[in-house]
Amino acid sequence: MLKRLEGRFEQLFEHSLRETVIPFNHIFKRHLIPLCKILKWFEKHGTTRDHSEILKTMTKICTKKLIK
Amino acid sequence: MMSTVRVSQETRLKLHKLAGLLQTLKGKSVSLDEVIKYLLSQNEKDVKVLPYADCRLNFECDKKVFLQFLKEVFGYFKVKEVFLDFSTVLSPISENQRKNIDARLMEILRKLHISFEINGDGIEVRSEIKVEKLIKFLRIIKESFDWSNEIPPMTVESKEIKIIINDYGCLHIDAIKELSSTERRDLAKIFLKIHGFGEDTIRYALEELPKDFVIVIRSIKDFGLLLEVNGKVVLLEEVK
Repeated sequence: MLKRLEGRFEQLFEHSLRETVIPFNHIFKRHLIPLCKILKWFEKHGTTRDHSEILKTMTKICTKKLIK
Repeated sequence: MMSTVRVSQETRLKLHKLAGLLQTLKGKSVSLDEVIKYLLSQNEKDVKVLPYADCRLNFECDKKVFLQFLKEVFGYFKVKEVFLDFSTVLSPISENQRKNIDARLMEILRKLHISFEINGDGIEVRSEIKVEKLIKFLRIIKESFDWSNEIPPMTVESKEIKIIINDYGCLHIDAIKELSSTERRDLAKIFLKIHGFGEDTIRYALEELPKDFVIVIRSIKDFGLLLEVNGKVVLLEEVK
């Protein structure tokens, strides 16, 4: 699930960086909802270590994308 | 300022005809650049995902050619087998609605001998399959479901590349090793070819293609395909 979270979060960034108009529905259904569902899954099944990994993963992507 | 737009003689005539019509309506002279801008503005009224490709390897394919694009990309990287990964937990629908979809999806997976697990939350697929089987599977689920609303995002991975399928037609290629600019251009070439551009047009477009490219294809009713590179219209081609 952590790998999937990484993929979803990264794709959300990729889509928001585009200069062309993307329908909000696409972002909502294909990126935001799956991302929320992963977080919900971790809330239900994840360990304390998973939670710390989520933060690390998301922060790593934020740093990478915002520096670009 | 718009750059020079390459068009065929026939398209040029159509543009002149439309310019004449707009001139009559506006009561002042209208340039061909303005005609193209008018066509673009008409196109943008109906916001949808347009065929798109960029140098970061994000692609949005027309739904009709998506599977062909996937096949050609796998062929280009000589990939014969992939690791398919997805979980229906990530489908953009409620848990109750998903139960029925999961049952139908399981039937398809069983028929195609694609292994999966059922956990309390949904179906987990982590299976190694041949590319032909993957294409068949994607075709069947495209025909059987309302993909954007019922199917979760997926990833398919091989030694060379990982493809994140965000939606039907929408994907990102994550190359395990950094791709050269030639390889990126080759992928752009495949993208243009499957969307119906002729060889001469592709050669012309690739000659002009900058290293950091963003390609957008707009279908203009009664005219054909309009190719935009980094925000500039480079050509308008009739598709036979």
